[in-house]
Amino acid sequence: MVILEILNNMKNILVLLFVFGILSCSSEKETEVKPDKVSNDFKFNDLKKEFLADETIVFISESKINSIDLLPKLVVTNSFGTIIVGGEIANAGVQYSLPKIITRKIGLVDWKLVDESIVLQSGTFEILPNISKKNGLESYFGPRSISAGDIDFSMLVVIPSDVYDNPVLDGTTVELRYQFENDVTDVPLETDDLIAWYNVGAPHKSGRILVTALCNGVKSKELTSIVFPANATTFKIDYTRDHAYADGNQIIRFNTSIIKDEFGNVISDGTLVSFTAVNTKGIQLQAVGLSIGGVAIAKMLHPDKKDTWKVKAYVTGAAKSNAINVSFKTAFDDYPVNISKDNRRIIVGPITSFMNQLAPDGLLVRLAINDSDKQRIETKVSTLQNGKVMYYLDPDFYPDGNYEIEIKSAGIVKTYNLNLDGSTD
Amino acid sequence: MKKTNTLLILALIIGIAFHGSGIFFTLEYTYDALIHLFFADHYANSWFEPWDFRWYTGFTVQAYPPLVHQTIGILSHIGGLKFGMFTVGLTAIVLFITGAYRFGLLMTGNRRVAGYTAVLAVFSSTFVETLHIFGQLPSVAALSILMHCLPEIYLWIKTGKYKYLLTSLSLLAVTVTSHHVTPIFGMVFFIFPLLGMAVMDLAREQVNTMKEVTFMVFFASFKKAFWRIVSFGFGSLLLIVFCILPYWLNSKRNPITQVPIPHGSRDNFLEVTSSGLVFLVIPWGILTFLIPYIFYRFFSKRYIFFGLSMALLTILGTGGTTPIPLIMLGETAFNILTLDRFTLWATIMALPIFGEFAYRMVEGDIKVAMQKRFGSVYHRIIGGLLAGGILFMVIFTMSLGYFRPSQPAKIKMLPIVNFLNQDMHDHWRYLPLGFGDQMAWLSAQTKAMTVDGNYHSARRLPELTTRAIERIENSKFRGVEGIGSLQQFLTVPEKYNLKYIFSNDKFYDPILYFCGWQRLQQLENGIMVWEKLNVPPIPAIIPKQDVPRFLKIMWGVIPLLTVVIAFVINIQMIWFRMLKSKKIAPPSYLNHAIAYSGFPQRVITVMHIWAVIILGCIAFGYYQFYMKNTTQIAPSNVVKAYYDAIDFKEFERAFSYIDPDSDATLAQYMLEVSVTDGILSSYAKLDSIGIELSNVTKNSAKAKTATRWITPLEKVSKMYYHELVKKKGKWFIKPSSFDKDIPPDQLFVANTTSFFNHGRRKISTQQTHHEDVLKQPLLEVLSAKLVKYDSQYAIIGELQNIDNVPADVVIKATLYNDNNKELANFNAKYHMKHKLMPKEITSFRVNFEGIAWSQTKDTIPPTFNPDEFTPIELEEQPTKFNLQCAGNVANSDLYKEVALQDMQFTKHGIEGVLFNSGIQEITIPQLLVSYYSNDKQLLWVDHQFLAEGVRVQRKQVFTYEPKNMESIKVINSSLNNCYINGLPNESIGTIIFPNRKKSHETDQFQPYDGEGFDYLKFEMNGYIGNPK
Repeated sequence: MVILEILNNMKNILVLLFVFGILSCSSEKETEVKPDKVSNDFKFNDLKKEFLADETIVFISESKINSIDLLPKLVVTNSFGTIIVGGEIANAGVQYSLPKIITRKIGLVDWKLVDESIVLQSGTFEILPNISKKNGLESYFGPRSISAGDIDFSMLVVIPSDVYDNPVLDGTTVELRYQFENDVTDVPLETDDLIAWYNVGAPHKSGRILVTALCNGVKSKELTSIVFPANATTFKIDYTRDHAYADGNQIIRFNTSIIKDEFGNVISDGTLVSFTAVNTKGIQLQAVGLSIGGVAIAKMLHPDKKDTWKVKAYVTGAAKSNAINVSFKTAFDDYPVNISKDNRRIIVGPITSFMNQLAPDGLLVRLAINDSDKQRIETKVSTLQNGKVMYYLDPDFYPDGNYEIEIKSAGIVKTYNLNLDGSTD
Repeated sequence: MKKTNTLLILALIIGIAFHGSGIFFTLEYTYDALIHLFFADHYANSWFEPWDFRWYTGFTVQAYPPLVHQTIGILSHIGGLKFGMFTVGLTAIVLFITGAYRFGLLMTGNRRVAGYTAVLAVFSSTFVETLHIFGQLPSVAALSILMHCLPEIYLWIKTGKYKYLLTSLSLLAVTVTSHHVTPIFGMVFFIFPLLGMAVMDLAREQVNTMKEVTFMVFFASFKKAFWRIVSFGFGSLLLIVFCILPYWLNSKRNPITQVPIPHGSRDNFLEVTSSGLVFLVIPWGILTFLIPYIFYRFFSKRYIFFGLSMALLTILGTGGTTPIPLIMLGETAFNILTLDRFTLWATIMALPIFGEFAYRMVEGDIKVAMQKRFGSVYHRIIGGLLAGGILFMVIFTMSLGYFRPSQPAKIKMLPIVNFLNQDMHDHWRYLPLGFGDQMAWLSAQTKAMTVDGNYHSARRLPELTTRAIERIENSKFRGVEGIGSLQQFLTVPEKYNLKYIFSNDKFYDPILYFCGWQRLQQLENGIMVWEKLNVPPIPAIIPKQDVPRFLKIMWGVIPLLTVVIAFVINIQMIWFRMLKSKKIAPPSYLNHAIAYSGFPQRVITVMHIWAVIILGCIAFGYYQFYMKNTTQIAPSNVVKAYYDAIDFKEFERAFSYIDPDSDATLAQYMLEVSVTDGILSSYAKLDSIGIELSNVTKNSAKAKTATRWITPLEKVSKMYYHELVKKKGKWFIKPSSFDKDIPPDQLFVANTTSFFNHGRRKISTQQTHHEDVLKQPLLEVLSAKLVKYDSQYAIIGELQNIDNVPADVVIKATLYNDNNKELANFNAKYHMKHKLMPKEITSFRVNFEGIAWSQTKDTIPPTFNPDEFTPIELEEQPTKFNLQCAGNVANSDLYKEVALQDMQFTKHGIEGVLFNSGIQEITIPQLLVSYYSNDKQLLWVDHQFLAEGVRVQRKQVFTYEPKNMESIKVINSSLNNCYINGLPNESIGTIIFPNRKKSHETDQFQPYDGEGFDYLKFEMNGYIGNPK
């Protein structure tokens, strides 16, 4: 195996040496030296300096060499790379025809006639785009969405090309046409550095811009950019609710007026509007609404105690609403607390609401238990059912001793000192 | 003329019928079989190219001997991969039975005994387990061929005929190319004792009786056989090195850097009884009762070397139960080897002796001895019990995979394969989650690549090799390291071009969501596809580790060549024998058969005592098991059972532990359970439970239950209090209360804005058409700071979606030092809202995580904590940072309707209520809390997951304890190096948001008199488990 490997490597090395040798030889000898074999008079007839793409390009020499093996080679270089073209013997003499991969590509072409590494003749010519046939038209329009106003724009880039995908000559006219609402605007353009381009500025109204381009009778497809509304401006808010009592159960809905930008466009659907409600204690409550048709709605629960909220809404950074005050009346002023004889069973309620009905299920009742040094031991949170909540201070967790309990519901706090031995202070 | 061995034929017929039909129902559910199938698929597609890109971002298949894989690969061209696998399985079964026969014949020299060995081999529980539960095809094949090889080695030592050297080496070569561990350890445990036995037999032939074989005689024979031993030894060493040379070179080049992965065979079997069952009880099976006989026979003079080997194997097979294996093997070998193979070899080695016992029991001297002592009925009963025991072990082992499946239910792969082939999805890597070993079968069917894999010795990514996890796919079973490793892949998927996740286990869903992944679609086989936006496709050219061509040729040619050579050489021998063209002497081991007469009564007594001891152990174990697992026998049992039932969502069982005299009904209980959602009830696994009983009376008790739950996001500890009562001898739990909140209305109306993205409007096999590429939404970084908090660096900031469409946001931060040297980079994980509506703001924090525990291998925390965070070790002080934010149009997970209400500042923290005002149930709510200084500058961003969800139109209370910000240090607040979709942040803001009113944001801050901060901001985010 190892021997095989070495042999294999040797083979590779030999090939490399061979190629390297050829390369080094050719680079050394690339000077015009008088040829030995081919007569000095092997010359091409006068050549055109400009061709159109796909035009037939044939080099003809009247030389009388009649063996293909003796013919010099034509080395042709364009922007894609270099190829070697061999000659053919024809009636008129010797001719070299360039293949389509050369003749269809525009740009400068260098050629050299080489015989055994001796350059006999060299020159250049240019191939120009051929727009006699129907051409192609690449077009790009972006960004795909812009903001209404005077700053933003979408750019249309058009690249007309001939049928062989060569860009056309600078100065070719391209007609641009764009539509917004009822207006269709024509803009004449000329290609420059292969492309033609135009910035379609955003209108003041939101909507859709459609553009198209025309060049040499060829039309581009329809391209589009969406004009989104600009940033929101000051708006108003309001609220609806079913009653004004702080029952901790009903839902209050805040809504904005139709929010518009500075040009009168309704802001985009889905824009986030954040509502903040500052209560009488200076604590911020929050809710959010997503706009639909410029209106955002946010919902909050009624508080469970008397309170006044100062509510504002923001499209943060862009717009702010007026401030409104929302007051909630207390649903009940007091609630009974019954403590069992051994002080371990505490029943809060029945709690009755504003019409003397039992308060709705789910009202939070917190029971905080502190030890005799007023250190918090535990907070039990429970919810009202049928107007009542029952707590039990388990002797396993609360051995006999003095405790302070704090019952809190609807903002009404009641404190008791319990001696878990049977008596109340 | 010898007779055809009817027992062997019987063994073959039963074996093929039983195992041959069994493998179709078991093999695909085993641990290993599908891995071998994946390797086989590799060879089927690229025989000579050892590099496979599909696993671990590329690995070499030269990390495993190829013979079995290549054979399956070749056969797959006839009838598909599974055809190949089953054909190889059948071949292995035949080889194993015949191998056992030849091994038995070699050991005992008695064709009848060898026949019994073959029959018992068919029913040996160790073989059943290795094939039908572990699916270790290469191991079985190698072991079978090794058994075929043993007689040839014996004959070479004994006779010195070169043809036996040739046959033995040819078979050894096949063994080597099928499995690397088998011949190496086989040398030590099988071949060395065999050499000893051969020399012993040589010595025996020098004298008249076994008694006369003294050490001097033995030594003389050893000298005679010395060169045969040496030549065989060198020959086999050469084969081991040469046949799988690429394997050895690869091991040297890619040494296994993997940290030890826990394996059940290294457990203490008394502690982890499940491991004990699988790795000790099942393989030994009925042999356990015969251990005295086995050692009695193996420690006779002829078998003494086998006896030593057997004793060693038995001890090594006990794993971590005793410290002896660890001392004998040393730390490294102990942690790399799976010790179950030692038990496998021990039980295989015991087969001939077992066969001998069966022969003597059925028709030999034991029968006579027993009938003489206890009568013929007793003999029959014992015989029946043994046969029954054998059958019980076989059925028990076979059914293990049925009753305790080691794999998730079989997944239909076709929809996944189709998905990967569609729409260029295979231009990204994918990751299966919760597939078990079936992920290998998925990999075998697609050319798409994954970052995971199922052959951990071939791993190269440090993210994986530094973790003791088998696969990322089942990371939840590996606790902190598993989820930690998974989180790294999920947070920085761009690094691995990881875009798609196939989730077969909803446990992982929350972590996917909070890492910024989104649900794409549910496939028709129920697998949820998650995708991540903004991940570049895999480059067209990816690096691979090449090996010299001659190694590739060796790897591709030698294994099958060894089979061909072995086949030609060995079959030719049989051919000669059949045609009788040459008179061949019977193999010389037949001369060493012993006469089975006069079985010592002593041994029968010992065996009876032993059997009683074993039965006593079983009875004791069963009693312990019963006491521990009977649910209502003691107060703590019922609490444990209750939480076990809750954990496994067996609510009816949970309800059966509730006090039957309470007014709760099953319907009511189920209703209450069904309405609680959240990370605890839907995504948590009970990690540990501590029960403290108090007030225990005869009929009542109180239990203070401390539970610890593993969730994909973090560890949750929760305390529950229960009252327990005893009724009619059973303990029950008293039901506890539940939330009684009712919403005001029955029917709600909500208008929402929804979005849809076509993907591609033009159906094309080309790249997505230019016009179908959406513009990336514009974002603006409002503030960004490099801060140091608790000796940990982080980048915090605020970012707004300033576009008109919803955005999915990815934030990548890089740290630099003063000399602009890059120190670290990482993405924002769950300290941000990944989906932003137009004009929505999120605070964010980027932590810089190192590869967890890469530095502290030995201090891996023993308990699970997925939230565990390993700060990266920075060599230098970071002073600058770069922020790359990318927005992509989002159209899912845009639910924002959560209100923050009823907040109160107490000395115990901030208490508040989340109110869900929309129409989707929030499964896992998250609070993002930003801290601001007195001049309203951002200081820190913190988060809190709520353990329970918020149902529609309902509220959920929370308590948040603000942190102390006094030690925070702001290092850099420059926005100069912040980029949005590759463009400078400033240039975007000035165009789209020229007149930003900064006061809007600060107006919404919550003043708070905190330690080291003056304002707070709350933001709400939530994972919706079941979007409607």
